[in-house]
Amino acid sequence: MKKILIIEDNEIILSTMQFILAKEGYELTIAKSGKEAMSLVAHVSFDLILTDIMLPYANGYEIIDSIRKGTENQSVPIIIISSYRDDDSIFEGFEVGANDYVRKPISPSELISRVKSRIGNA
Amino acid sequence: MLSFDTSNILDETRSFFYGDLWITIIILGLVLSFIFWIVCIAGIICLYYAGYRKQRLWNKLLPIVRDFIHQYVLSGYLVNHFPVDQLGISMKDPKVKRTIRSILYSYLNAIGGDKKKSIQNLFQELGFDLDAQYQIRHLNQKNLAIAGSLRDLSAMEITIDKQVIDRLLKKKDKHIQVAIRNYLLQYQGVDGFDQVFLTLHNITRLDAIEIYQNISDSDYVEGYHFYKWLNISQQNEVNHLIMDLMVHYQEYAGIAPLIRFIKESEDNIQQCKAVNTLGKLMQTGEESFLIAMYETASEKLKIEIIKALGRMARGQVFEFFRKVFVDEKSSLELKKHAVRSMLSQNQYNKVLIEDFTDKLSERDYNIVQYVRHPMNRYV
Repeated sequence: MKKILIIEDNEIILSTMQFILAKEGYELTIAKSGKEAMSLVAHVSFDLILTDIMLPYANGYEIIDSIRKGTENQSVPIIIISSYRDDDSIFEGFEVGANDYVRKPISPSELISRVKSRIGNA
Repeated sequence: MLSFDTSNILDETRSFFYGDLWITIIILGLVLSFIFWIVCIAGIICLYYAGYRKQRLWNKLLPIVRDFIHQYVLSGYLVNHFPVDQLGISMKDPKVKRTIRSILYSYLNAIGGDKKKSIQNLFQELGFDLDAQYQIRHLNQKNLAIAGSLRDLSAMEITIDKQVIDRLLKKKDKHIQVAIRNYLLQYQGVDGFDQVFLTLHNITRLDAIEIYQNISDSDYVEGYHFYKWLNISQQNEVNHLIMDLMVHYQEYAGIAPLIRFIKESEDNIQQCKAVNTLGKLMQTGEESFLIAMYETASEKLKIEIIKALGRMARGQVFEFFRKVFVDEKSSLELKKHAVRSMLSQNQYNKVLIEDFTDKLSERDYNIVQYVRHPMNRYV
């Protein structure tokens, strides 16, 4: 079963993503802050990481940067999920090493398609 | 020797402290301060308790609404006619109703795509659209409630009567103004833009930023001309907003009105912003117009002219920058900007720039080196 790490602090968005992806059969791990995410990615390997940008303790860019500089999940696909719509935010996300960008509000079918295009079925 | 008045005052003061009145005043003061602190502490406790109850109600209702949405909206194929009675929540209590409305509003911001319409339908099937419509139509409602209802109607993408919009646009309350503007900008297309710009008076810079964000986040109506709202007699904040939008949407059709604006305006701040906009629009062909303005311009406007020329010109105005730099009357600021603009055109004038810098005095060369240094460049 493919393992996905979801880094999101908004309870409603988190539960929605959890529901959508669990229904597809993926194994999910949750981190609600940058700090929690950093410690998880340092020790556990994942098939995909979904991360928000605005997070407590460390933002999404910092998390991606540390993942790309680390060893455990260095080459894991990362999808940013954010409500930022401006080009600079998207550009910065790709600059630090994200592979894709999904805008909030999340379209369930779009989220599933993007996840499947990166790691395939569960 | 004390005068009669002074010794009289001293006697009165002494006799006051020999009596019981001052003790009564002190006791009264202590009692009042005690009551004051008790009231303050009680107020803080009440506020905390209200917040705690609100959170507790939210925590109680969220799992119910969440499970319902997961079951009927995200899993099923239902788009409308949801079995709302299966929620098992009585909507008679206004607090419960408010909390459900708030939870659904959060879901509207969380779920997009084709499922968004389903959440909007659920919102309406629970009767929140009727409540919101009622509140915006009745003037005796609190302003915050009206603003909240406008926000809900925007989220549900429900059309509001033109008469109601006109009436609300006249309201001076800030919350209502922001809410109605957001509604118009996001869901009414061209008509909404027109209505907002028609009623923009006395806005703050912060309001302008908010409107800018709303327009740039909305589904911009292709072909809308923001420049038509440029007007020298209106508030600077409004003109600045329009110019920012012109740059954002690269409105080249607005160049001629912008130049007319620069010529007609007598306000230095407006002129500076307009020249800055012209530069950001990279409108080559307007160099001679800006150069002609330079001599009579204020120091700030001169800087904006040099900056704009640095952005837009394609190497044709090297001589102008050189003259500004060597002119003894030019201030250090002007010289720095002239060099910066000159260097920004390096690709067109590489040889000329090298030749120019080779012939400079040590003092002038230091200015060039200072501007050239990456740590001193403006962002």
